[in-house]
This record gives sequence, structure tokens and C-alpha cells, in this order.
Amino acid sequence: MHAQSPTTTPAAAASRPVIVRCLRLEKRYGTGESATYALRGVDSTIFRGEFMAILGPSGSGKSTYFNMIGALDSPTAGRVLIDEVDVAQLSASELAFLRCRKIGYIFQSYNLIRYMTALENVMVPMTFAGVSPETARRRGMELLELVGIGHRWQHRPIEMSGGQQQRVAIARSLSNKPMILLCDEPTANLDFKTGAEILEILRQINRERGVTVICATHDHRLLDICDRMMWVRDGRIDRVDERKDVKITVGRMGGQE
Amino acid sequence: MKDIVAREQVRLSAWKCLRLSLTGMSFRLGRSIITVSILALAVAFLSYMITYGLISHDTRLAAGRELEDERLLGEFSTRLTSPDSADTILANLNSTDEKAAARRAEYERWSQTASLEEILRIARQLDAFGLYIRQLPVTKRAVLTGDMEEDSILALARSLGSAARLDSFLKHLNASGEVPMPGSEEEFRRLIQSGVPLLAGWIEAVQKGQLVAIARVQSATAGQDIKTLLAGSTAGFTSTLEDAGFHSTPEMHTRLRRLAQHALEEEKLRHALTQQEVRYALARKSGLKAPQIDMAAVLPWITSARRADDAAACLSPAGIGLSAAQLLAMADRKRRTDALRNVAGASFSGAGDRLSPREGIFAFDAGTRWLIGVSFIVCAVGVANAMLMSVTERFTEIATMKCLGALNSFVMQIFFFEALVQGMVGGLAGLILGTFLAVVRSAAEFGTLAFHNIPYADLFSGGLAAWLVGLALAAGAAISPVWMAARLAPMEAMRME
Repeated sequence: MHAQSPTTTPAAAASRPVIVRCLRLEKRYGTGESATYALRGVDSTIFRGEFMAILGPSGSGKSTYFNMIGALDSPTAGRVLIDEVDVAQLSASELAFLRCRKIGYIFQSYNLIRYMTALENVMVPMTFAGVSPETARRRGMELLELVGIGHRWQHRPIEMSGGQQQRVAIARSLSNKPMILLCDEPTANLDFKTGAEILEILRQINRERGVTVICATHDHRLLDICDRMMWVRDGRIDRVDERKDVKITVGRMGGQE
Repeated sequence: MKDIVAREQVRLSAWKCLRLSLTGMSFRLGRSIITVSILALAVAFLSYMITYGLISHDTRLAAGRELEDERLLGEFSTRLTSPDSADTILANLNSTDEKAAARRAEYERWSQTASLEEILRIARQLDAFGLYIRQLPVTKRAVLTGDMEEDSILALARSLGSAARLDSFLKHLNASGEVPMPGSEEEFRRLIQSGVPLLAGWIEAVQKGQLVAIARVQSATAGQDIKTLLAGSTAGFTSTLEDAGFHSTPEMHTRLRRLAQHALEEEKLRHALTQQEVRYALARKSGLKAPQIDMAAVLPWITSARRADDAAACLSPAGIGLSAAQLLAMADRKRRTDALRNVAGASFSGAGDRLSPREGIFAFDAGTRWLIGVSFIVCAVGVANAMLMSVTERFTEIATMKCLGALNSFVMQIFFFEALVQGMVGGLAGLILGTFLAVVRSAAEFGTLAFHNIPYADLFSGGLAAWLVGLALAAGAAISPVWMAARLAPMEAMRME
């Protein structure tokens, strides 16, 4: 097998298939004297079907790491393998294919297309994938029902609350039945209750559809849902914990909130 | 087991791209309107400059021609009283216009030579030499021509008749050594030594011939006033002129007769206005002061049939027989001539230089070209800025689309379509606005004269050019930032904002 992350137990690695693997990943912004490192050689492994939380303070390199594994940004050095395929080896068209069908993205600021209705937003990735308009419309409505806003399908983002927009974004991310769902601070702009609802939807998708969910967050409620948590600090992975090992800690944090 | 197999992404049809960009545009109508307005303003500026340039140029050219026509009578009278000067003859030999060709035909008759060819060749050579001398630096020219009058190249050439003078001239000329003179030194010597005397002899022959012709006309007309002769419809006078060798056509005679009649009417009026009785009567009627009464004051006052009647009544004691209708026509003619003078004198570039006909839509004078050039730059900067703004504020959208699996070509296409639609709409609006403003300005400046000489075909090409420029600028200005954003990885594009 491939090189193991030092924080992964050999038993777990052997028993489960890997979906995202990073090898000595580096990202540097700027050059020469003024160069700053966002990532300083990260090795990590994410397993198929798990719910991974990426935690860390701002500026820790968490977002950069997140963008790398989502093939949204190119590393300065090192490799990202998604299902054993080196992302750097893919052509622009193959990258578009990957982003369109295999990875779903959810952003902190929802990033819906402003001039499209909820349904049209959900249909965009299907249009890109060449799905027929009828099928796209039907599947789009199903997904909107799934996230609980089927009745608002013809509203534009500007007419919806943050929570509703994030639900549309989730529906959109699921439209081409992705293998991986990447969420960048999905609850950061939402109030407590709405955030909890969004997390519940994510958990449901992970459990029921077997989609690998990778979630960068500050939201400690996520610790209750996830399978594993990755702590990022100063451009390195500090440690990776199994949820069952930190159960007591989480309980205490929950109590504080 | 492998679930993720990377394959080529599907390409979307242009029709789908167009529909998506139209959806986007209709939503961002407010934003689009700003971009489109800037585009429209830029194109309006450009098309205004082109349209106004075209109309004003052609109107002034036509006014100049009409005024020149008015001078026909004077020219003709001069030719019937004294022979052309040597320089005028030389100029007519080298000129290409229609009038000069008619003059050459007359010269040929008067000089009694069979062929003009040799003379024309010498004249051309001499003309080329004259151009060469004129473009030399002033100090050099002064050394070469001495105290000669340098305007007359013929006089200069004749002064070089002696071999010693020619040698010293050539020595000075070669010493300048800046621009080589046309033809070889040998040719120049031949021109001065044999060509110029031949030409001078020919010119003298022409002048003598013309004198004889003038004498024949005068004896035939028994000293009658030429204007009176021209104003009458005497076929005899026409044949007298033709017998003497003066070139004329029936149209020219019609024109000359009309002009001569006008001139006679003016003379009558001028004469009548010298009489006290008439002056006081007119002063009472018009409210002008009696000492001010003259042609220049009275004719502008006659603006209606009623005033013309009044003026005719006042003039009746003088017994000149000018009717009210004739007076009104005279007043109208004067107004038109004044308007023509104003138009022909007012030049777009500020300089009252003589206009030459345009060749093609952009062959304007230097001042107009400069203005159009500047307006083009303003147009380009305005459009580039508007498009750049409308694209940069949408980098997030581009990044999002790329996250959802959009190909670079798709992103390019929707923005390109959008720019194209904006360019078309804005360009059209600007074209209408610019043309309208140009027509309004032309009408204000030239009055009704502006509408007699509208070069429709050129205006159409000019408008089309302005519109296409707007379109190309919009598309070009949108494409570069979009290409920049589309090429980047999605997150890099998002960071650009």
C-alpha cells in the first residue's frame, strides 16, 4: 500500500478503501523572501464513506488544504490522489468532469448563481453533465424536496434566507450523485438552529447515501456527527482523532454551549 | 474497485450558452444598462464625430463650389479685357481640373501650334522643379533664388538663361545636397536651355493670340458693356466669342446670362439708392437711418413680399423698373450667398483652408482625423473600463461555475455572448444618438444647406464602422479578463476579487 499517515492506525488503513490521499502536500503563496507557507508537507488519508471534520483556527491552512483535496487549487508541491488518480495529471476537461460528477461543493457563502431560481441552480451541474432538461428538472425537484424546500423552487437566492440558500446549495451539490461532498464552513453564516438543521441533512446524506463528507468547520457540534476529525495547525496536520476516542471531550464542549 | 474514472467533460451547444447568458443579462438588467449606456455614449461620440465630419465637409465643399460659380462672371469679363499672365497660363497647363482643360483648348487655338504635347511635358518638368524648390529650407531657397520673386518658377527658370548663371545655381544646389532634385542635372540643363525658352515663346504666342481675340470681340461689340451683352439673349454675341476662340458651352452661357442679369439688377439698385428721394422714402419705411441706406442694409430688410412691395414703391421715383418680385429674389440671393460664405469659411479644424473632395469615408482633413482619433481612444477606454468592471465583479460566479463543472470554453462563450449583445444594443443606441446630435449640430450651424448635401452612402458606412468598432471593443475588452479568470483554478479566481 501507499505511505501511511503517521496518525492513522495501520488496522484502519488496511480495512477500508481510501478515497482522498495527500502526499507531502505544500502550498506557498508569493515567492522568495515574502513567501508564506499555507501548507508545509501534509500527508493525509480520507476513507470512502466516512464523515471527516477538518478543524483548526483561522490561518491554520485548513481552507487551503480543503481546496487542494477538492481539486479547486493547485499545490506548489506534493500530490493529491482522488480515488488513486493524481489530480495534477488530469486535463482541464477531465478536471471539469471530476468537479461536475464526482465531487459536490458547499461553500460558506452558498455561492448560488444569483440570476437563477433555486431549481435552475440545482439543474446547472446536470446541464453541464449533459443530462436532458426533463430529467434534470425532475431530479432537481426531488433533491429540493429532500432538503425540504421543494415549495420554493422558483425563488431566486435573493428571496431566500441563508439556511434556505444553503439547502439549495446542498441539493445542487448532490445533483450528479457525487462520491465526495466537500463543505467549507457550511454553518458559519447561519444561526444556531438553522446550522443544526444543515448539519443534520449532511449527516443524513452521509449515512443514507454513503457519500464521503469532508467538512472544514469551526462548528463544534460537528464533532458529534463526524467519524473522524483532523486538526490542522500551522500548515501541518496536528493529529487525527477517531470520534469514539474523544467522546468525553465533546460532551464537555457541548455542555459549555 | 474504482468508482472515479476521469473522462472528458461534455461540451455544451452554443445555443445553450446563449440562453444562459440571456438569462443572466435579463436578471442583471440594471447592471447591464450601465455598461450598455457607457458603450452607447462611447459609440455615440465616435459616430457623432464621423457623421458631423462627413456632413460639414461635404456641405462646405458644396458651398465653396457654389460661391466659385458666382465668380464666373468676373472671371469671364477679365478674360475678355486682358490676356492671362504667364504664371496663370503655366498653372492652367499643369492643373487637372475641368476649367483648366477648357483654357488649354483656348491656348491651343491662340498659339496656332498643332500639338500641346511638348509644351505640356516642359510645363510638367518645370512644375516638378518648382515643387522641389519650394520644399527646400528658406535660407537655402534665398541663396538659390537671390532677390528673384520665388513664387514664379517661370521667372526663376528664365533668369537662369545664361550659362554662367546656370552653373552657379547648380553649384549652390548641389552644395545643399539634402534632397536630390527630380531628374538628372543633364535633364535640368536641357530644360533650362531649350525647354524654357520654347515654353516662354509659346506663352507669348498665347498672350498675343488672346489679345487679338479680345480686340476682335471688342470691335464686334462696338464697345458695348460686356455685362449688358451677356444679359441679353443675343446669339450673335455667342458666335462672336466662339469665332474669337473663347471656349464656351450652352450651359455656361445660360449661367453667365443669369449672373449678368443679377449683376445688372444690382447695379440698378445701387444707382437708385444714391438718390436722396429714394433714400428718405426707404428710411421712413424701414426704420433705418437715411445715411445707412445702401445695398447691404436694404436687402436684408426685405424679408417678405410686403416689404418688397414697400421697397418697390419707394424705388419707383428712380425709374429703374425693378419689380417687387425681383427685389425679393435679390434679397433671397443675398441671404443665400451670405450663408454660403459663412459655411465655406467655417472650417471644422478651425483653419479656413480650401477643401478638397474626400476620397473614401475617412479621408478627412488633419483636424477632423485627429478629433476622430481622439474620440476613438475615448470610446476604447470607456468600453474597456465598463466591460472590465462588469467582468471582475463576477469572478466568483466564474469560479462557482467552474466548481460545478463548467469548461473554460463555456465560461468564455457566455461572457462573449453577453458582451456581443451589449455591444450590439449599446452600439445601436449610440449610433442613433450620435447621428441625431450630429444632424442637429449641422442644422444649427449650416441651416438648410446641411440637408442639400448629405452623403448617405458614406454616412451609412461611417455609422456601420462606428457600430462595429463598439462591438469589437466590447467583445475584445470582455474577452481578456474572462480568459484570465477562466484559465485559473476556481479558488484562484475567487481570490482575484
